[in-house]
Amino acid sequence: MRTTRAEVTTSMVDLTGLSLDELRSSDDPVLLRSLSSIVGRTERSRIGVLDNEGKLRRCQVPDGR
Amino acid sequence: MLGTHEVSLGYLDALARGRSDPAIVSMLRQANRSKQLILLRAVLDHARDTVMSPLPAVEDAWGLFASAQRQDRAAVEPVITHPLNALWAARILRRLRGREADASGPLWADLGYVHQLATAAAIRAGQDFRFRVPVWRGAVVLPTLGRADVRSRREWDFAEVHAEHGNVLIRGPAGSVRVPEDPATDGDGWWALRVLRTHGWDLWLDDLDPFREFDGPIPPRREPPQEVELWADGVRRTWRLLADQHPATAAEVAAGVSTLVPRISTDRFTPSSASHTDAFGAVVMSRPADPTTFAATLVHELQHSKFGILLTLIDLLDPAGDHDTPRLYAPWRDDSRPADGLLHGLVSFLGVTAFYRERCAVAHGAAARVARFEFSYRREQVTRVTETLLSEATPSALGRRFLAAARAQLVEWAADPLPEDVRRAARRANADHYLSWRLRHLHPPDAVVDELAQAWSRHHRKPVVRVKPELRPSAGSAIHARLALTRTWLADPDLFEVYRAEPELAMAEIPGTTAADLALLDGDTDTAAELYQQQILAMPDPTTSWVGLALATEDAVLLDRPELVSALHREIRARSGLVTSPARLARWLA
Repeated sequence: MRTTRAEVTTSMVDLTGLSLDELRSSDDPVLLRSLSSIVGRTERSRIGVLDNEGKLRRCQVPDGR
Repeated sequence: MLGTHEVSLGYLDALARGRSDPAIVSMLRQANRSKQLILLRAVLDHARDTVMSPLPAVEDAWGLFASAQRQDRAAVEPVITHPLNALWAARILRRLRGREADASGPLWADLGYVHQLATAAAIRAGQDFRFRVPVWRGAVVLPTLGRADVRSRREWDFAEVHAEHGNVLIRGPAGSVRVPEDPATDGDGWWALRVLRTHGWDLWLDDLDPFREFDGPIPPRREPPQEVELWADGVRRTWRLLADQHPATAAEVAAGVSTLVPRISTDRFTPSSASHTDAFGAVVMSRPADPTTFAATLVHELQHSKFGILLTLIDLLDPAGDHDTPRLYAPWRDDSRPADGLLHGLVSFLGVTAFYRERCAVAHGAAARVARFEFSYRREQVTRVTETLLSEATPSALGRRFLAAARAQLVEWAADPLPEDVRRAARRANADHYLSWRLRHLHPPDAVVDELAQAWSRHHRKPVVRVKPELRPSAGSAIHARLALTRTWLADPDLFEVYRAEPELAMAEIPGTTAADLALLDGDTDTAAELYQQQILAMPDPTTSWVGLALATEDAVLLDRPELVSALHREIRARSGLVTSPARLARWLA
């Protein structure tokens, strides 16, 4: 993540314009980094359902996070 | 080499200031599309070698999906961006990596959601194909299209979809369903995914998808036509209000909210609603009573959607900090919150506060009083939470910038003039919630309560004690009767007059209401205090009576440490069997 005066550059790959065929076979390093980062985030993700009735249910992660 | 998404600092500031801007939603929607595709690719990578019998391999499903996109890119796009995709992909990835404790059915069926996506895409693109999809409890759900009742005696089964020259037949274990030529219409064995249309905003009314309420799977709960018409009317009226009076919010909602999942109503003033950090644009809600509440609920949930994807792009909390422990007070929740949840709530209510501020300028009569109350009520809440996050959480550098922008906005909003009675009502409602939270979650040390009880019993002066209450998160929810009464007083003064004349009616219609509450709202604080004392003497534990007493008497100790007075009162009663006057006890503690 890099911040310039006007914007923050993130590490998430921009897949606008990439077809499903291209996505299937691509080994672009930016895509592979994003894959690893998003999968890791998904596993660590804690916030799930945001319910206004006060019940915040958590993702079912076995380590109890 | 592929590029990466960027987040404009201007957009970040706008979000912190609760401002609506369709450009922000467009940017986040694009980022969410990338996230959904990354997750799909991750599923493909992890499931390439999974035995999928009786379904074709995941690779084949991807092939069908890709071929549909080659044929008609625009037709397939709604399937790619369907809000439940990421939710499913995240869950199945955790399962494939041994991290999902709660599996919903056999792996081939769970993974078969990608077959359902591919099949829906191929139908939308008008392809000729044959493909197998999973069946759950006798039905095939095709995302963005509808549900075919193909019947099966087994919990999990499979069906074959055959499409040729635009005719689509779904052959199940015990029955076949022909998808209507226009899949958006119901047919024999076919429930279409309904679309609610307005001039400028179309959205799905999803009562079919097993994962539509984000947990699942759950069976469909088909809305009857008259209920659908009520939803359609609510959407039309809400859209008119937004488009006419809040054009920027209207543009945001149209760009961001794609799916409405109906839920049964439980509260007259506050619709039950929910969203999910992995389901951008999907909102679960009960039908709101009026367009303003409908719009405010959409704003609230869309803020969650926006923030959910934003937090995938950037960190606003320092990754090394404690964001997981539920330890912070949230004015909009009955439980204690971790820092990440509190930040989510802040962003959501900054949007709601900004919305009601705009309402103050355009609403008239009782609607204007309601808007002023909601603005004042939420403004106070988000101000408190901004300070909490700055002082008790560990924001990142970007997070501090974000919270500073929110604080600057709140300083500006604090200057807005409001009628004194409305401000007072908002202040009281917030104090009510906070005191209730203290009573349910904070506990003075046993040794201190013991020492105080001994001194009281021996008619000694209050000893000097250090009281730092301990946070013990408690389950269960608080009673919000006084808030409901306040909103009735604002929105429907005639009904409030009826309640004053006939307190039994208020008690019947607003659960938890007491005569003391009505006296308090009526400004008769002496009567309210007397009645709350009587309630405590009759039944010492109810939190709501202690809070009511604090609000009616404005006693400094009761307002500052209600949990100490209550705990001491309980201890003295347990020791001596005597019921002490709460007001006397509070005076002794002063």
